[in-house]
Amino acid sequence: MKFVIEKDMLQTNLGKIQGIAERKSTIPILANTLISGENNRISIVATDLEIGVMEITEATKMEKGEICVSARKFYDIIRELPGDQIEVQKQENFWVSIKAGKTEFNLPGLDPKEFPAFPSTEGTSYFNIDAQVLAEMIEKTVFAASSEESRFNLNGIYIEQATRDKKDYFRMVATDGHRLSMIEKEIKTTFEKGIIISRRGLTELKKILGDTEREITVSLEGNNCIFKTEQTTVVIRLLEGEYPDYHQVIPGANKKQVIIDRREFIGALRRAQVIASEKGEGVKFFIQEESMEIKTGGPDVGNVHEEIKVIYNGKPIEVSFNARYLLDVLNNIDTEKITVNLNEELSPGLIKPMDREDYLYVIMPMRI
Amino acid sequence: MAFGDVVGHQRPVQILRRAIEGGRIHHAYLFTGEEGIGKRMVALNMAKALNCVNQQGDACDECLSCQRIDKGVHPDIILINPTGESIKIGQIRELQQAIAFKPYEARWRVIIMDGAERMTREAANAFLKTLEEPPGGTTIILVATAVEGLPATVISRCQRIRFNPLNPEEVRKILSDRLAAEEIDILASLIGGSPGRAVQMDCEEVAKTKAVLLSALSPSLVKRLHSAQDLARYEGRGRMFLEILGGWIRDIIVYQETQDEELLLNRDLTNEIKKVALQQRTDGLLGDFWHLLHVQQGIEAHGNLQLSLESALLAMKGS
Repeated sequence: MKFVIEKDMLQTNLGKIQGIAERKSTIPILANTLISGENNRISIVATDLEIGVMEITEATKMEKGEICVSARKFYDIIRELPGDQIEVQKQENFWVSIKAGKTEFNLPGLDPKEFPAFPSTEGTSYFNIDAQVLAEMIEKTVFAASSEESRFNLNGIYIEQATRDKKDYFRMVATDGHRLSMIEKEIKTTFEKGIIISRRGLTELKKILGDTEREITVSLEGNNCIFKTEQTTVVIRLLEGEYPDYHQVIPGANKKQVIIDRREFIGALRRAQVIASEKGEGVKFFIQEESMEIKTGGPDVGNVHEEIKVIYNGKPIEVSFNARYLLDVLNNIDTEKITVNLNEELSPGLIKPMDREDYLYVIMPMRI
Repeated sequence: MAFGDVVGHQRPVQILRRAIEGGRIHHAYLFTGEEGIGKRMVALNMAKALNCVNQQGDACDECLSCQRIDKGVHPDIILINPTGESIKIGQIRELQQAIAFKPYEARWRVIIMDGAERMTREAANAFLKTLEEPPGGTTIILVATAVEGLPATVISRCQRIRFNPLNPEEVRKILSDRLAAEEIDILASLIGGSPGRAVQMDCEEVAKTKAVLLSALSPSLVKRLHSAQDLARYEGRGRMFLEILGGWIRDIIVYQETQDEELLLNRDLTNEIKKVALQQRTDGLLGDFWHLLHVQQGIEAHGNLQLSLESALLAMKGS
């Protein structure tokens, strides 16, 4: 195995996989990167068994083969090397030599066969999605996923193909039992059934592919979901288990709809939170025609009281929510106004951006 | 190594192979039996056989899957060992997190827990749910020497497979790669049916201890007491000596009854054994043997080592 490559190109690509290879693991080989070369292209692979990343880039003077070296060491060496052409060559006993100008490094490597296989991405059915759209979908849902250790299936984001009004939607749902986020885009997917992907997987995916302008090809292969651009492939291992039936949680539209200015609401909530953070984040809302009263506090922590203007014309209603959950939601909405649908004091609240139908949030009320 | 290469353990291997061939793999197995007889090795072979690319129901030792399991780098074959004294709840949680994902590349994910009897109570309780209902395509193999250490709730969730100690010929066959025939002769009476134990033993140390045997059984009681004193200096040696003594008595009795050299454990002492066998009466030897066991139990219960050794040696009928 041998190749010659531009320093910058190699450095950028190695930089992208560091986050994955660096993760502490009980299997030492995972701190390594597997580099294979053929037909003047090299692929650089790192995996932590949950997320795998493969970068493909061009190289010259190629001799086919594979090497497996410490991802960190290799990256550090490449960064410090002088000149702009680097020659990498496999030596005896899995050692690797790295040459640039008059500098030569020799690194011990491992048997490439010990590196976990990278799932094949050939021949499966796939669909395309705009990278920015995917990034938006991830951003708007992941925060609601659970981080509780005992319910691993809720630690993930549920992804499925949905059909509504004879249109196909690509849908993502996350919930931790207290709140739920859901977003859908009109895209025809190839998913036959829903899958669960870990929160970390999607967060990393957004980091790695979020800034590309191109389309991303999405496919399912065995136990993995594969996201691919021409240059980069991200493979995420699916979570086991069934996702709970989330439809039951989402309340239907009803008359008790409040329209609130998002920024004003955020401001008021942050003020209330100063006090509420000591009271389990609970904040009370008293809504009547044209106004919403926000109050929280107690004899030991002090109290706060504020009134903001809203659009509402139903019966007065009193309800309590967790301020942090509300802020999480409001910070992820990008319209000026939001709508909140309430029913009774102890039924869930449905929060939507005004005049947009593609995403929504549900928050369970609190009993104060 | 494959199922076909396993020496002894015909029944356990047969049960497992049938399970694989019939496609009826239990979700949790409990392998029990003496230390060092190959339970973990059979468990690893099970993992290989379940995932082998080339063969059905056994391992080929050549495919990537088999090689990765041999090297301990297979991502879906999870080995759990006690950290320090016990298997802790943190390890169980880590495992549960790992198996929340679907398998990475294996057909069957196999979790092998060696020393399962050393799970703490919290660990065992946390493990119950996983043990009862692991995710699909996953099987758990608990490997334990003392089933008494396991909570009944754990045992009842597993299919139990008992491993018997190997017979002397099987032990010899396994050890022949690693030890010379003379070394095996020296160790044989100590290792019982457990080749694993032989590998841990220091052959020279055993030979030294064994050399004491004849003088310790000399007719002079003073010499016997001196030997007891010497042996008691190192606890390990004292205990080992009593085991050797047990093997010695056993050999004499066996020879008296069968006159068959092949059945002796201490082949390095064949001549001495034959000599003593002619002089001693079997019932007296049996008495010695029971007394010895009694002394050994005393030591287990923290009795004084030197006193115990003296008691054992003074009571012996001598050589």
